[in-house]
Amino acid sequence: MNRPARIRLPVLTGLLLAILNSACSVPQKPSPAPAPPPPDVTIVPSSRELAAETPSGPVRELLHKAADQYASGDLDGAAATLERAIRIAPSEPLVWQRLALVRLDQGDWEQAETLALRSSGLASGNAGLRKVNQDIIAEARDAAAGGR
Amino acid sequence: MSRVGRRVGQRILCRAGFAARGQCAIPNSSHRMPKKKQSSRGSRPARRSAGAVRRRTTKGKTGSWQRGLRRALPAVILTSLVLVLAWVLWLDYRIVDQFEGRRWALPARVFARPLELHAGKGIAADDLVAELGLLRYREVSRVRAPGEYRVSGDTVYFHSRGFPFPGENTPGRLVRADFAGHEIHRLGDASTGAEIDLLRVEPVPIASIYPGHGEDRMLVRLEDAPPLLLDALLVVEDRRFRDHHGVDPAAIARAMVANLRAGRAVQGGSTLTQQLVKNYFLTNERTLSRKLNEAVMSLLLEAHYDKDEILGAYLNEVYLGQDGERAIHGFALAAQFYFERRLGNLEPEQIALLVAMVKGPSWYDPRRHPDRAIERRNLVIDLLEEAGTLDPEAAALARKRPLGVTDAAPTGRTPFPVFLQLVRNQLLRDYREADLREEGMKILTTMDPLVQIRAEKAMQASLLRLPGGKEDGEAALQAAVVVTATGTGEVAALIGGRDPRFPGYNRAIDAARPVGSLIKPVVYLAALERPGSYTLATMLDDGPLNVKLANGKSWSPQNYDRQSHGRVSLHDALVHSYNQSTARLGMEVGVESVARLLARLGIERPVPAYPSLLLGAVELSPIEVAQVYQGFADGGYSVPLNAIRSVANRDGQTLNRYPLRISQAADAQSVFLVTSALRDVTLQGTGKSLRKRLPPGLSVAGKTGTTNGYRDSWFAGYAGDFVTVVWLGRDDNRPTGLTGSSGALVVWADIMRRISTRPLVLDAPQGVEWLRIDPATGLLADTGCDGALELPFIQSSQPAGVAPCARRVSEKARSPLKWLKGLLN
Repeated sequence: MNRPARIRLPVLTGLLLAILNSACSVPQKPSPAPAPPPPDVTIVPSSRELAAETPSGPVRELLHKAADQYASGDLDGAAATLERAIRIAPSEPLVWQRLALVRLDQGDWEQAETLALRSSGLASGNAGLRKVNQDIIAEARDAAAGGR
Repeated sequence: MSRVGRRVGQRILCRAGFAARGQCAIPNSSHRMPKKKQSSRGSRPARRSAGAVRRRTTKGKTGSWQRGLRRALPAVILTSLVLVLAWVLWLDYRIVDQFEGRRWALPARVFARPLELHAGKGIAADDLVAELGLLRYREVSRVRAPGEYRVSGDTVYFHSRGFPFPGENTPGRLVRADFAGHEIHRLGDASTGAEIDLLRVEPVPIASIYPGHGEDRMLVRLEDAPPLLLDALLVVEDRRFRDHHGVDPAAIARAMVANLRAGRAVQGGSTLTQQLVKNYFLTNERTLSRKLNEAVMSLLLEAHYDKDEILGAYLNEVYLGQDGERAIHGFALAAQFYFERRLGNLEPEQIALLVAMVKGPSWYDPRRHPDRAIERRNLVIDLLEEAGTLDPEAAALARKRPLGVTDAAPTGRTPFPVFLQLVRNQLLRDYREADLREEGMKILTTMDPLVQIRAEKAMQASLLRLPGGKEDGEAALQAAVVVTATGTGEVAALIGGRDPRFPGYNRAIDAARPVGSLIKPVVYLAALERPGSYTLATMLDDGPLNVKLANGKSWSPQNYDRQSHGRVSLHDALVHSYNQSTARLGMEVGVESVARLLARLGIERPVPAYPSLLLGAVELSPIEVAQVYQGFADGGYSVPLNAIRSVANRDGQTLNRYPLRISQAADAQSVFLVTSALRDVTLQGTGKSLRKRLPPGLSVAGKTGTTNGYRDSWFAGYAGDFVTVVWLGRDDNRPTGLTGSSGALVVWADIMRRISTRPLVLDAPQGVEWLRIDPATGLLADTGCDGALELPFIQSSQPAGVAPCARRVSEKARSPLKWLKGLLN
């Protein structure tokens, strides 16, 4: 892995959750993981960068719902909500990325990696989103290799 | 009361309760009296009619016989007691087991996908109205209650019924949907005026999977049943229900008197408890022992359970009608079956009719015998008035009302048997058949009824326009259609034959046929996955070829037009579906890699790697072809086709979700190249007639397939939201005379025209760029080249040379090379 620094999974997911909420321009919800100072700031794009790609009405609503379910630990529910969003907007890379993240938390490394790849494939114009996907992929590969 | 008394249901009359004993049971020669009582005097002497001698000799021994009896009496009594006890325990076991264990066999309910509504959704007002029609909403002039709608210009008002499914238990609401053309312009709550971001309409029930004996029911809880129904049941069927212990001797006595007077069984004395027991063990046997069993079971039932539990069970168990093989059980389903209303929404006279029908659902069937039904209904209303349950005004009003049943009974047979078969196949991997039939599972499927119905209509209409498409019978031209959603692989529609309602041979799943040229995109993908060796501009030799086979024979495929086309670009070879160049390309790439790629794309059956595979000698079913093309539509990601989203138990808890699982079957860049060529198939190649068949702006990608002797006509392709595969052919494998373009393409276009809301978007993935190419040489072109093509290339694979037609190498043409150089440095 050619990554400058290993970032622990909860940190990554916590950050992403925070981004999701800010990207959807609602009051930020408390992240489930403690928010330590990001060791490597380049891992996540700025909220503004993501906000530019904010999906429209119904998908945004579902992303909020999924974020709530995710925060309350209902990962199955979050995944079902994100799948519902994919049905409405199958080309929306952010939704695929959220699902990758949920699978990462569920320890489903293979799906996390593939879903993040799929997200990047749809996000050719969004470097920030692809960077997050790369981190998800790296985490998933590390975890799979380390037998976590 | 005096006229009807305590009559019980006709099905139960004479079969349950002691009242009927005098009329029904005793004359019946097959009855079995308790053995102990009849043994010593009844039958034994008759059997001993052998001779008087023996009788005389035994007479002399009377004293000792009596002494023996006296000695044996305690043993006889003890044995009898043990036997009676064992019998009672056995009955107790049976009735408790019935009541507790399998309280009600509930059919599985199968639902379509719920319709999601939001502003910007590509749906026309007519579609929404069609969906509401499938949900049996009623059109009204003013929308007040759930299940009603109104159309006013470009606006549809409707009151949804709520979404009672796991993960989202939302109440119904009054909705206003404003349409602009084929799109929802605004979605809002008509009561509050607030915007609605996203609304999930309750899903359309598309099928039920019934218990083996066809019992159908909907459950209602006692506390949810209308009070009038409960009062009416007690007044008409069992006035002392709250006081007796399962059997009501007074009612029996009254019934006996009435029956003796009438000289036939006119009245029954069965309690509701007895009727419930009777319903549990439905049988037409009319023996005294049965009645005794039922009486004892009723007493036992009352000893174990309280009155409310028994009444609740009765509400759901009672038999109230028949629909073909489907038996209508319980008041909730009966309300739906006769009035298409929820039980809670029935009018008093409708409740009275249902209670009236308990006595004989077939005799008093309001659809077949309205006169009898209304007479008995009014009798019930009289009783309710006498008992004070209905006041005189309400009773008078109710008597004047018509029966109020809908003309045609809602059918229990699914209109979508072919899709249901797919659902069953998938369910049977995870559940037992018995669970499907009896556990009341709620199955949320992926079927889109609007897409399904439109695909059916399109298929039927376009089939009629095809040569030979009108003839019917065993040798008729048959069709199979699969429609799946891009992104998720959810099966939206399935057609298994020219008659979509016929549940027989399901060609979409079970008919494996040679796929012909539909295989070609796989061959080209296997080549384009090696960008160092192949691009869309690679020149191929389309001359005749001869391949030596392992068995010593040789294989010499020919082009469809029997012509060779010299040197052609890989792009053109695919677009025009040339066989000779394709076979040559496939042999270079390796038949094995094509077979492996097919497996990666989701084909599970073993595919023999013979050279003829390259031209589609492999037999696949339409749904397998859809699986392969799903991978193309999803940019190289393969997702197993899926017909079910989730399964919940009868209480609504999720038992199983079928989550989206994807795998990368091929890299996105190579797949993009294939998709761009398949788009060109529909513009300039074998599918170019689509240009006039599809609305302008609906860009699609697809491929024709024709097999030897015109036996199979295929078209497979995709746009923005659906992958659709169409097969036409005959069951006896006779020629159809149709090519892929003259047959299946016509049906495909008609379907896509009606269901597509999003065109194919050729958005190049990262690392792919478009270049202008001279098709004659496969080299870089510029404005000086006539007929130049824009083709996508994976970076680092673009042609190095410049076509002679290019007057000079422009900076524009050179720039990618520069770019590449910079990258490598």
